[in-house]
Amino acid sequence: MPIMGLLKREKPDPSAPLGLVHSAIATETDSALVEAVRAGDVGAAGRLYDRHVSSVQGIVYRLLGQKAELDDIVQEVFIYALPSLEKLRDPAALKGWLLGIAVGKVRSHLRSRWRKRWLSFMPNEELPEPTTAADDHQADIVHAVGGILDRLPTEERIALVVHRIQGMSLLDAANVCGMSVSTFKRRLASGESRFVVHAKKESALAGWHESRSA
Amino acid sequence: MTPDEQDRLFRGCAAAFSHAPPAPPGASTRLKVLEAYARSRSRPWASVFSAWSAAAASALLVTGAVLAGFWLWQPGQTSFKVAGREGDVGAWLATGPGTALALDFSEGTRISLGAGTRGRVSQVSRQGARIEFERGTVSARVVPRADGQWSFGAGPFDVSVLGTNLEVSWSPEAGQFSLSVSKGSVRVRGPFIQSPQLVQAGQVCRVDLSRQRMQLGPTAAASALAANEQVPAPALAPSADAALAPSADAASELRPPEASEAPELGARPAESWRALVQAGRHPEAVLAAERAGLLSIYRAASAEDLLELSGAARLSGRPDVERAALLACRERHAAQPAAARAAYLLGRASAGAEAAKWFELYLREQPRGLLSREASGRLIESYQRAGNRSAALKAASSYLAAHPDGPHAALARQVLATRSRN
Repeated sequence: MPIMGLLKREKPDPSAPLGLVHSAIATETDSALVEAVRAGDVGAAGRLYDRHVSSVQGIVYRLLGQKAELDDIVQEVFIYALPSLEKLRDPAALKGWLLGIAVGKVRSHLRSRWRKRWLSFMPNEELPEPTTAADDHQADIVHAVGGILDRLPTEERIALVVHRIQGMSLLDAANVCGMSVSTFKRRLASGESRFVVHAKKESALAGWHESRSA
Repeated sequence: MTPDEQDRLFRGCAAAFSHAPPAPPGASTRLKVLEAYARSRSRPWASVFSAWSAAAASALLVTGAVLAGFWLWQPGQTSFKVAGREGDVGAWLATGPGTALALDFSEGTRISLGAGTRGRVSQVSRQGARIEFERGTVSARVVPRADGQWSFGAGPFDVSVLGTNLEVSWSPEAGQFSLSVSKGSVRVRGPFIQSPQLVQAGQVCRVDLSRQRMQLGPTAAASALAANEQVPAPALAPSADAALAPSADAASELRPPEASEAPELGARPAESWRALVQAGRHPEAVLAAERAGLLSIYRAASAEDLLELSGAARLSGRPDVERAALLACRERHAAQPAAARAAYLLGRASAGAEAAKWFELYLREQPRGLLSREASGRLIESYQRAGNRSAALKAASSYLAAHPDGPHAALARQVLATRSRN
């Protein structure tokens, strides 16, 4: 069969190309990835997703907790971002840009959740999601922090998480949140005060605090 | 609380989050993102449309309580009941040992969660619903509809239903997936399944992640197959063999559907894959080509059709079909300029040394072709990535001689400069 004959001739060395692909992926800069996606390279879109999905998921997780919507929001971030790369002025700033989109999506989600709760005149009775925590104590802390964050105003919650939990610098955090550093600092200070008030009532956090202090 | 205590508190909170990261998004999330991206590329006006949609949505919101009621009410949505009570989309459901739970949908479909299953109805629409589960067994009796859209997510596996009775099992601990179809057909995607695999009535598809194996066989003989006839999973890097010389099972996937299957798929006439390509509906075009029979297309289609199909496959994230169509174009239309173009596209779809081989071939066949400048530039990149320094230097010299102001001129000079420094 002619096609089979062709296949034998063209069959690549199974080891070489795979290693080369991996090495090329490892050295590909964010700028090169952005340019390739802008040029219509679907493969580059996949590589961009693979490189940044854990960062995006990380910030969404910290902002929202282990909620059922976590993967949906991560998906929304990339579905919005990939066709919008033309709007990215500095391709080297890709990661910060993606995290900014993630913050925006979470902000919309939190506001929408609040509206739905208000309109339905019902308490939020979401079932707690299963956690992948390695031990119960850490899971308790995550659960307690999530509970306190749910009681904070959306903007204060976001400011607190991106700086205190995600660990971004004030400047980067303000950029990702799309606000000036001074506004960001005000929201952060307010969020921290509220958080501390609630944290004092949380046994999981009190226990953690005592154990570290002892 | 002192500032130091406050710092310790937040550091502890941050550490707890880092200590318990969520499981990474599944393969189905990645696939949906890339499919949406491919669709958006074929509809550049979509972003403008979505901007208008966003403006309209904002206007709706400010109208307040009157429209809020409408906003929450979604007429015509599929609804479902769990043990006789209205079910909630997104709410997790779990069954204990020895118990089962039935979900009855408003249009007649029944989904059953077997013992020890944890899952949820994650989406509903007018056409159907999506059911996701973390572990256990889900069986379904889906009422066939021409526009039905039912799907199941089982860990990293994704099953799209075409109107069927089926049973899906997923054990994350053992890394074992099983899909058994008793009526109709489904498509399944996931690890060690190189492309959406069609599973028809009477077939069972099993994937064992720990042994990196996938098997497809008749339901009755499934247990025998598990013991004796395991088929190695396709290589992760798609090879031409996988696309053009499938196993007997995969060949059955490439056959047109049996006539008796038509009612299950709905009465909607099949659209030609060419028409779908022209309409920019690339993922659908590739699926239509699969339904029509990829092997027969590879053996009979014109050179231009094969290039069109490869383009649609590329935009749909289907490198296996892209590559096979291009190889078929070169094999069957060797004397035509399209064959040289196929060589260029094969280079673009490959990496390193293999890509260089295709670009060299294009330049031999079309030294002054439309794509010769681009092929010469990509040749430099390919040799660089392959670590072939001498070939990269030679390609860079040739490029600068022919295209001193070309888009790869800077790269060529950079490559030549490394020689000067060394």
